[in-house]
Parts: sequence; structure tokens; C-alpha cells
Amino acid sequence: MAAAKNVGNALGFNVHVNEDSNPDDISKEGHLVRDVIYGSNMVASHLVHFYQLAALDFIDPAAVGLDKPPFAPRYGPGPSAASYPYYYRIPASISTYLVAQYVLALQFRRQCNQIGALWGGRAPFVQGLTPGGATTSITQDAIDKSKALLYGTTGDKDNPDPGTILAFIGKPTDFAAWVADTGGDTGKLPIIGDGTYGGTMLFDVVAAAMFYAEYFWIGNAYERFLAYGVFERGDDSNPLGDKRLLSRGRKRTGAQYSAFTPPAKPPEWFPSEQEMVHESVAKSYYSYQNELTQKWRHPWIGQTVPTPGKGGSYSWVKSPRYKDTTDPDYAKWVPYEAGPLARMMVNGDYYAGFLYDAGYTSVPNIPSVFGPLAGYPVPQYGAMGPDLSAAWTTGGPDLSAIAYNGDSCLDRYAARQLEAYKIARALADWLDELDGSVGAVTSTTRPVPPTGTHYGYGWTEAPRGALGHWIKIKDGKIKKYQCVVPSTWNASPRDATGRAGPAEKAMKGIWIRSEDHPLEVLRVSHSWDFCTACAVHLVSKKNGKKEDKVFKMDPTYI
Amino acid sequence: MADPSKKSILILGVGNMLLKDEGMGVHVIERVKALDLPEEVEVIEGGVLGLDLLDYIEDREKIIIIDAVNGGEPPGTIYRLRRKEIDMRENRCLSSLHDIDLPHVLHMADLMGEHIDPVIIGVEPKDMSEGLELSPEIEAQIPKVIDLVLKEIGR
Repeated sequence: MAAAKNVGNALGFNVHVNEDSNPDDISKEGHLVRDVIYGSNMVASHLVHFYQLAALDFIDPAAVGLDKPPFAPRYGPGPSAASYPYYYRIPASISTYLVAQYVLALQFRRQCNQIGALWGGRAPFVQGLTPGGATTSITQDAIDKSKALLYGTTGDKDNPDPGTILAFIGKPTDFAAWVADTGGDTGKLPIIGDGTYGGTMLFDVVAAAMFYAEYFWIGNAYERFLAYGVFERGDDSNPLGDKRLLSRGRKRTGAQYSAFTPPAKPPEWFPSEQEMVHESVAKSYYSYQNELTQKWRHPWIGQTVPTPGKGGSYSWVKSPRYKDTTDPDYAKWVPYEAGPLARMMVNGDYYAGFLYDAGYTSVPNIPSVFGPLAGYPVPQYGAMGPDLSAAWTTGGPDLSAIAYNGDSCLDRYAARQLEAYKIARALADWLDELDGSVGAVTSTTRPVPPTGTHYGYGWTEAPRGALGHWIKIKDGKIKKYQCVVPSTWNASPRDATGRAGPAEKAMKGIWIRSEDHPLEVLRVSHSWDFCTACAVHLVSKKNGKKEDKVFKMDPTYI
Repeated sequence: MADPSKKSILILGVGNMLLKDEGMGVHVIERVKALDLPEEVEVIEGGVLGLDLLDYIEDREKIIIIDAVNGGEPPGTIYRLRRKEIDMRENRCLSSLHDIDLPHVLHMADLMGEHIDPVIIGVEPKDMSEGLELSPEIEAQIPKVIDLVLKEIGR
């Protein structure tokens, strides 16, 4: 099926539809403005993801006097420290510090949105994007204001002014400098907030991660990564020959990671082909016509027919898979993971052991901080290799058979924050490029053909991962519109071959200390930040009818 | 973070316009916007904003929020609620960032040092299926809701 050109114009909601077939007729400025809008949105999303969503799974609210919402209780009364001594493990001093960061992050998230609004008219729900570019005119005022929010007025992008987005995020090398100075002494962690080592975002993730090191072995999915790529004007020197700052492609990490050296870059590279994306509804509450014989559908012939109560189903999410008959492990219908980790993996910016190489080796081993960890063993730090037996004492999950593969819960957190820096820093360069383009044309028009049947698709990256829209237009009207979104790739149920989606695979076998407080599951689930319902938010009167959301898994799949 | 450019009174309509009565707050706001209002009043359509509501509700003297309300009464019932009367979902844990709603944002504001207690004016919805229009029973209540909103700002 050949994609017809110039049909995306009718669509206010996905400007990329059908640009894939002809990306070059968009002006440089059109791309740049879009990249600034997308970039500011992604950085805002990554900030909020860690501080407002994920950090709460690691901080002990009671220990810092914050035993109240939005911190606690998270599942009714929390587990007591006496009965679950290692349930929360971050020391109070670091928890206090992270809570302060939680509040600060809200401010920097706002600054990101301010940049988005300067270029997109408003943020979120930007309206300034059109097929063919962006509607915003480039003004010196918008450029100057954006730079001030991003790195300040002194003009040094690598030494940003305090109170700016880049100053808050910090460079990955800041972490290595801290390790070099302190030997990775957690007792010296709180000083990271004083600006001595630049920004703090990666520190904060590491501060959380170092006390929960077993999550480098928990939450493993398929080691299959998918990225549609984004930021067209990003990087002319990209070794993959892809001008995008974050490339398009797929990757699998394959065999067990055995040495702390990065694999050759790129270790694997396949051009992505939209024809390969198919969806199954085998265990979803949707039906396909002739489902028994046609189990897989490409989005151009996709169907979305809600079928509540469909026997054997357990999810409102479809199961997208990538058709690849050459995959050595999951032949033909391959479950791929999308998101920041996938993008960074595909782009060669992250790999199993990246944090170790970045100085993580010197982080002290956890038993020396806490004493013996009876009852909830944790692997020795420094030993990111597979041999955990020495550190693994009594009880708890046996992770010794699990090879560290870079596709874990904590790898997702780490890659997301590294990506936040990469994008924010690139944003500073794009603003410089725009400097010379005040008044330039940012948009071209793409008329819809008035007759005939046309197919189009558009691929880009949302903060949560690969986002694709497919369209069919007949005689100037939309005949079909199908979206395959990142949370569907990640949270999909079992497909027509019985294979679980990445998140389901990652959650199987998680060792839960208390069924009433399954924080362990939450940590892994939040590593993706699924886009769940944002459609209905009613105010509820106290003692009014309750619409409790119940997340229930079919026991036959556990 | 005091912002002197902010107007002291905020009228904020929230809800999803694509789901019939769930969007009543937005329907009301569209009509309130057309009215001649005092200088110090700002009218904002909040749509389905979650966390981003925070930026708009900080630093105000008075906030009136219009939203569909799940109160267990017959459809069309009009409510006027204060913070202590709504379910603040203290025991909830977020499944996603897209799960952030008004109570959660109020908790966040607390953490930032600002206790916000908006006046919430709403109507019990009848139909929240896909569609842009309000149910007739809800539509009939809109003028009363607007009167209540104007009363809050002394009109």
C-alpha cells in the first residue's frame, strides 16, 4: 500500500500523518519550532514522572513527617517499619531532600511549559502544530525568553544560571565528579542540592536507585526496543545517518551482558517499516470481524469495536506487535517496548551497564550503610555483574539466575533522566539556530485531495514512547483513523500467539512482601508511566457514590 | 511564588467536552466568558488539565470551579461544595501521571505551602457517553449554575 502524499492537512490532531512519505518539504524552521515544542514537553514530562509519580514509591513519607497526601498513605495504612524493615530504605535525610526536590520540580516543569506555550500558543494541548510545520512566527522575544527559562541570561549553555531548567537537571558528568570527590559516600549526598555538582536530577534518581539496587534485576521485559524517532533537526552528526536527535529503529540487546564495556554502536539497526505493525485483540475487550481467521490487523484495516465482557479477555488495551520472521526468540510477532529507554537504546546513548561506566561502581554497597539486611536481601552494589550469591542472604526473591540485561525497572528510570538532559541541552542549541531565523516561514500547506482513496501514516515520539497514527481518506473525508500509542506497546495483554506484552512479562514473578501493599509492583509499573485514563475526572461528593477503579488481573495469567 | 499579574478571582471550568455531561463545566465557562465581568475576574477553561491546573489556581483570593459532580443525587441536582465536603481521595495512589485530578492538585498545593479551598459548583451528570451536547435535564440547569457563579463574585 503506497502512502499518498498531502492528506494530513485535515487533521488537527496528528500533524505527522503522511509526512513520513515526504518529510523534506517542511522548512528547517518548521522542524525547529516543532522540536522546541516537543522538547520542552518531553523534559516537563520526565521531570514530573520522576518526582511526582515515581519517587513516591521509594521515599518513606512517615520518616520525614509527611504522612499525608499526596505522599501517604498509598494503600491504606502503610507497612510499619518494625514489620517491614527494608520496605522503604532511603534514609530520612535523603527522603527530606527528595521531598524538597519534589516541590522544586513543579517549578521547573512550569518553566518547560512556558517555553512550550511561547512556541505552541499554549501548553499542554498545543495547537500551534500543523501538517507541514508550525503556525508560530519566530520572534526574538520568544527566543530570548526561552533561553532565559532554559539556561539563563549569561549565555553559557553548559554552565546554566541558577533557577533554570538545565541547572536543575544537570549533566551526567556532574555525577561522575561527585563520585570522584566523595567516593560515592551516601552520607555526602545531600550536598548535591547546594549546586556544587551542577544539577541534581540524575543524582536524585541514583539516590533512589542505590538503595533499591535489586531493581536492576527486576522488571525485565523482552530486551526489544522500538523507537519511531523524533527531533528532525537534532543531530547532523548522528552516526546512524539519521538526522534525528533520537533515531528511528529497533534494537534487541540479545545475550547476557557480561563486560562493562558498551557494545559497538549501533549494535543492531533495522529500518523500521510501518507495514510491520499489527495488532491483535485476542485478550482485549474488542472484536475483529472474522477474528478466528484474521487474528492480526494492520492499522489501515484496523477495527476498534468495544466488546465489554468478551470471554477470556482481561484488558482494554490492544496488543500491537512487530512482524519480524527473523527474530531469534519471538518469531513473527515480536513484543517491543517503547519509551525513553527504548529511544536511548536505539540511539546508542544507553546500554546495559551504562551507569556503572558513568561512575556507579563506586557507590557503596548497601550492607555497609544499613548493616546486615536480614529478611530482605539486597545485592551488593559494585557488583552489577550477575553473581549475587554472596550478597543474597536469606529469604526474598532469588535473583541469582537472572542476568542483568539493561532492560530493568531502574534502567528505565535512569535512561529517562539521561534523555531529559540530552533533550534540554539540544533545545538550547535549537534556540540558537532559531536566532538567525526571525520571521521565517514555519509552515507549508497540505491540501487534502478531494477525490479518491488515500492512505497515510505518521510516526513520532511522545514522552512515553513510539506514537503512530494511521489514516484512510476517501473522497475528502476521513474513512478510518487508528492510533497505536506507546502505552499499548508496553501494557498490552497477551496476543493471538499467547505472548504477554512487555509490562506483563516484567511483572510476572515479582516478589511481593505484602499483598496489601504491593509497592514492588508499582515501582515496576511506574517505570513505564502508562498513560491510563485521563478522560474522566469527576469531583465526588463525600459519601456520594463511589466509582472505585479496580485493577484486577485474571488469575489464570498470573 | 506570588505573581502580581494574576487576577484575584478565578472562575475555572473543567471537564471533558467529548463526554456529554462530563463537559458541563466547560459549557458553563463558554457562556460565562461572554458576560461582562469585573476587572479582577479571570475566566479559564481548564478542560482535562490535571497537574497543569496548579499553575492557574495558585495565588488567588477566590476560586470558583465548575465541574460535573458525582454526589449520588438525581441527575440535574446542583451542588455547591467546599473542600471539606468533597472526596479528597487521601488513600489513592496514582497509576499514572494522567491520573492527577483536582483533589491531587490541591494536595500538591498544600505541599507548596498554599492551602486552596475553592468553591465547587456542579451538577450531577446524567449521561457521560461520547457526544458534544449536554443532556436536556443538565442543559436546563445551566442558567441556574451561571447565576450561582455570579453570586459568588457578588454579581
